[in-house]
Order: sequence, then structure tokens, then C-alpha cells
Amino acid sequence: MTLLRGAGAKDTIAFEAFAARSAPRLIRAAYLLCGDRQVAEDVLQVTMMRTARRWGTARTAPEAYARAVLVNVVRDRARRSRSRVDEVTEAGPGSAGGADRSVTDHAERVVARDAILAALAELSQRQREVIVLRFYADLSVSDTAAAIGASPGTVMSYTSRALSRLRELLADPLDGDSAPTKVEVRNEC
Amino acid sequence: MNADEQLIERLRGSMRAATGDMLPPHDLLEGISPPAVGRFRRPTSGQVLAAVSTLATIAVALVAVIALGGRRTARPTALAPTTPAGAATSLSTLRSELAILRRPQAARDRIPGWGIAAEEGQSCSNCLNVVKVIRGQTRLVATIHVPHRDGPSPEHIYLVLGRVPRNWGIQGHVRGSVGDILVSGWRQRAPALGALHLSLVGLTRRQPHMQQPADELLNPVKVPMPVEALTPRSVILTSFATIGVVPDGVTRVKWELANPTQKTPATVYPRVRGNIATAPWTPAPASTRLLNEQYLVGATWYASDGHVVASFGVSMAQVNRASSH
Repeated sequence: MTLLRGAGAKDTIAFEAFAARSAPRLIRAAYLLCGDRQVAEDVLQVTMMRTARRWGTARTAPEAYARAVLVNVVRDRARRSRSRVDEVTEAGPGSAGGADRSVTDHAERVVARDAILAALAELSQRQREVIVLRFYADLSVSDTAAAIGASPGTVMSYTSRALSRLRELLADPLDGDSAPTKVEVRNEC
Repeated sequence: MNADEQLIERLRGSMRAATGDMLPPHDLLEGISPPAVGRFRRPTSGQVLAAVSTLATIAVALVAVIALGGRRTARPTALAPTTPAGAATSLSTLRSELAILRRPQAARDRIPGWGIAAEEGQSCSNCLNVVKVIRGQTRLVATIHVPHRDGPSPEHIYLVLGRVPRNWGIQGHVRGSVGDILVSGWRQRAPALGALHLSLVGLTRRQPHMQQPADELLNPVKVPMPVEALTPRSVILTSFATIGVVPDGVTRVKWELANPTQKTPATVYPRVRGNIATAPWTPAPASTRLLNEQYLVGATWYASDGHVVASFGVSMAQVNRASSH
């Protein structure tokens, strides 16, 4: 006698396929939002657990649902540890200061990349979210708005302010004469 | 290309370069799946009739069990683990026995990466190097505040599930004597390759003075903990507390702890909360200078109605014989 017809196996297969497809993208976004690999793994795990728990709702657009969950998980963690500075590294615009001009292109790229990531860490939580979602995840303004729970106008406003702030932070990026700048990388997750 | 577009291109390039090689650990999402959902379908009259007759049969059987059950005492009940003690088990079996595994894993339940690396490292003779830790199934079960000259140093005790790699090749190394069994509180068996492995692991935060997992310092066993199902031996003996795992339905636990010089073991009734039993370190008799908790010589699980769910015990003669080897 079958009073309940389970849909579990089908859902499990669909969820596993979604997880396999999306997990790499989500963990990278989590890393960019948090700046810590271990924390990014935690965030991904919690995101996937919450998505699985609400699979009935999420399955129509699982990626969008998971992105919104991920943003919320990151915010929750940031709220809990806002005042904490977990890691202090000497990296930033001037970290190549004094370097020999004969440094390789690769080294210059790495320095520039680190400078951008350090600048990203200096943005506010919302600004970082829009930058990562729009320019890393390549989401449209409306998709970004759905993910962070804001209006498209707010997203555009955050984007504009974030870009201005990044321009300030990244001004004079590879000035060889400047002294090394100590940048605090705040792990806000 | 204007300044904004250039900046956006730089951002894209940097973010992709910084994360290009990043992939989630393959076992991070293990065990995560949607809850089973059902859909109600109106039953036919025949199904209703069958359901009623089935319920009537079950009711009669239950009445009979209740009527006869009162005459028996101290017998294992249906709460006993479904897997015989010491046998290899499965993840689904353990989840059905342990509520702590059925709840979602929280961030604090996760073992830090350095801890997993140390536990799985072949260079650590006392760690879980027989297994590959299933990261999604670790749970924080207790925190012990250990005094240290630099201030209290919290040590976190985790319930850890792992799998024995199929290419694991040192089974011959785990030929446990009764001494190993008693010291570790874990049954010594050659692990079945690919089998599930249940352990308790103590870790302290990575500090300059303590780079290794705490269980290496706390747990005196000198061989890797082997494959085991959930049994009353599932106990870790630390220098400051004794901690055990118990299945759902166990509400009271008795441990008998001893060192080789004692004639009779000390009996301890740990506090049971959920699936975790904990007891602080108890001083040994004044005649000895050793810890009581060197050996777990006996353990009993009780259900709420007083029935014995499972137990094990060895004699002090066996303890002394094993410790003299």
C-alpha cells in the first residue's frame, strides 16, 4: 500500500547534479566575499545544506536561490565577527615598492592582483557583494538585486560607489618609490 | 575603453586569477541531500481496509510485548545498536543511531584543515591516519578547558567519521592486544578496507607550543584507532575528562576506570546529554600515583527504563596481564 509516494531519489539526483555544477563557482564567490579559504568552505557547506533543506522551493532556480543563501550566510558571519581582525598581512598597493624594475610580468600581475584583492577587502560588505556578483559571477543588475535582496537602483548605486572607492584605493598602483603600505585584511565572515 | 571599464576588467582578471585553482574538497558536501518529501494520494477502500487490519495486528502484538516484557529485566532492548559490537557499520546505520549526526553540521563542528591534515598524516602514529576523514560528518561534542602556563587552552573533542582507504596497507600493524583495547577504549580490529570508522578526536588550537593534535598528547594509545561500530567502548580518555558517545535512547552510563595497580576499578556515572557522556577526571586512590582513567575496563549503557542496552567488561587480572606486556 502506498499512501505516500516519495520523490526523494529524483530530488537527490537533481540536487547532486546542481551541487557538482555550482559548488566551484559558489566557493570562489564565497572566498572573494570572505577572503579566507577555510571560511569559504564553511559558507559553501552551510549554503548547500540550506538549499537542500528548501529544495522544493529552490529547484526551479537553484543557482539563484543558492547565491541568495550564500550572501545571507556571509552577512550572518560578518555580523558576528565584525570587530574582529583575524589576519594582518603586508600586502597592498605598495608591496612591490623598491622592487627591481626587472621583475617579471608574472610577478607584476601577482602584485596587482593582490592589490585588487586587498582593495576589495576594504569595501563595505554590500559594495563587495555587488562587485563580486556583478563582475565575478557576471550577473545582471536585476539578478544581483535578487541575490542581495535590494532594488536594481540600489545595486547600481552600490556599484558606482564601490568603483569610485576602488579607484581611490588603487590609485598609483605600482609606484616603485612609495613605502610599503600595511593593509589590514579584515576577515569579516 | 573608459576608466570604469578598465577597472572592471582588472577586477575580473584579478578575481578569476585569485580563485582559478579553487575547488571545494570533494567530501565537503557528502551527506547533504534534500529531505525526503512525499505527496498525499487518496487511498482506495482496499488500502484503507488493509491499513486497518495491519494496525490491528500491530496493536495485538504490542499488547503482547508489553504484557510479557515486564517479566524480564536487564536484557538488551530494541534500543540496542543494530550492528553487533565491533562490526563495521554504515553511515545510514550510524545516523539512525545518533541524533547528533542527523542534525545539520554547523561551522563549529568542522575540524580545521590543519587538524585534518595532522589526523590523516602518516607521520602521526597515534592519529586517524588509517582513515580519510569525512569532513561533512564531524561534530563538536565537548570542549575541555585545560590549564596551561599561557592561560587556559581549550581542547575541542570531535566525533569523527572516516573511511579506511581501499589501498590502506598496514593492517598487520593493528593486531591489538587486550592492553591496547583497554588503554584506548577502542576495540582492536584489522580495519575492513573501505569501511566506516568512528572516532573521538581531541584537538587544540594551533599554537606555537602545541602543533600536534591534542589526542596525541592525551590519549596514550600507540596504535591507530581501528574500524569500529558504536559500542560502549566508544570513549576517549583524556588527562582531564572522559568522554563517550552513546546511541539515542541511552540515558544513563556506567564506566569502570582503573590503572593497573588498583584492585578494583573506580565506578563513574558520567553526565549524559544527547549522544554524549562526559565525566571529569577522578583522582586515583591515595595508594597510587597514577590516573584512574588509564584504562576503561567496563562500560554499560542503560535505557530510561533501566534496561541494559549494551555493555562490556574485563577483569583487573586481564588489565594487569596486558599492562605487564
